[in-house]
Amino acid sequence: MKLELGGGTGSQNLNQSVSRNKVSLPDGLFGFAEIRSMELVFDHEELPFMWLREDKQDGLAFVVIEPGGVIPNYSVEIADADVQLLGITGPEDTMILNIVTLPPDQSGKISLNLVGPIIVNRKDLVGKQCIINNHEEFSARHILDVSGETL
Amino acid sequence: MLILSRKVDQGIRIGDEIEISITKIEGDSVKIGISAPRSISILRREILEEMQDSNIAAVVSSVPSKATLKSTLAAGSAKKLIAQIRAKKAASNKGELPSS
Repeated sequence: MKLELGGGTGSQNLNQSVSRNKVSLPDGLFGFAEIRSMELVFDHEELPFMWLREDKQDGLAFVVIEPGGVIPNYSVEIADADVQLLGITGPEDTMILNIVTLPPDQSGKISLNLVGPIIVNRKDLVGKQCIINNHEEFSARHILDVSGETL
Repeated sequence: MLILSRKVDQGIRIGDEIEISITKIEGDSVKIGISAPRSISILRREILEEMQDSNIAAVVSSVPSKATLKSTLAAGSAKKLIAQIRAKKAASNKGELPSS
């Protein structure tokens, strides 16, 4: 299944609901196979950045972002097996979260993993980190280029 | 690990549905053909390792419950970054959605 990302899809649905959502990750994440669930948390001041974190003391956390409107021409092709596993039917019920790597030197140069997004079924909040079929088109260390913007 | 020697045009069958054939050998590189059902995921090992490394680089551990980007990135740069990305998102939304 190929999902094109319009700028309009994304966190709007989430904004209107609660700011905490428990996401089940039955397969864990790459390198973190033991994780089974995390909560998606955001602060309105930080959107479109959100946090995916373990709901426990000293748990692990990732900064994530929905790519719609942020990464031009990004589209994800999800393997049929993953589409079936997640029970997603199209862009409306699919949330895409790209993991953000913050630079250790606080330079502000952050990168996104566009190759292995976490695909989440919006209806039941079950997710899986998938390597997209069209991974050769994108980088796992896509530098978020915000230079040259008006602000 | 099972190790088998194969020549060009020879193959290996795994179960009922997976067949691997050696199609070409050139120097130290081997071209391998794989037939398998679409539901089976086939990936170069490096890409899995890259995903693991990427996640490990991205993970923030021991986040206090009040963790914010501002405390993770230098304060000024987080604010600027968020503003820039919002501007970019807004620009890309223009013309796609009527503002409501």
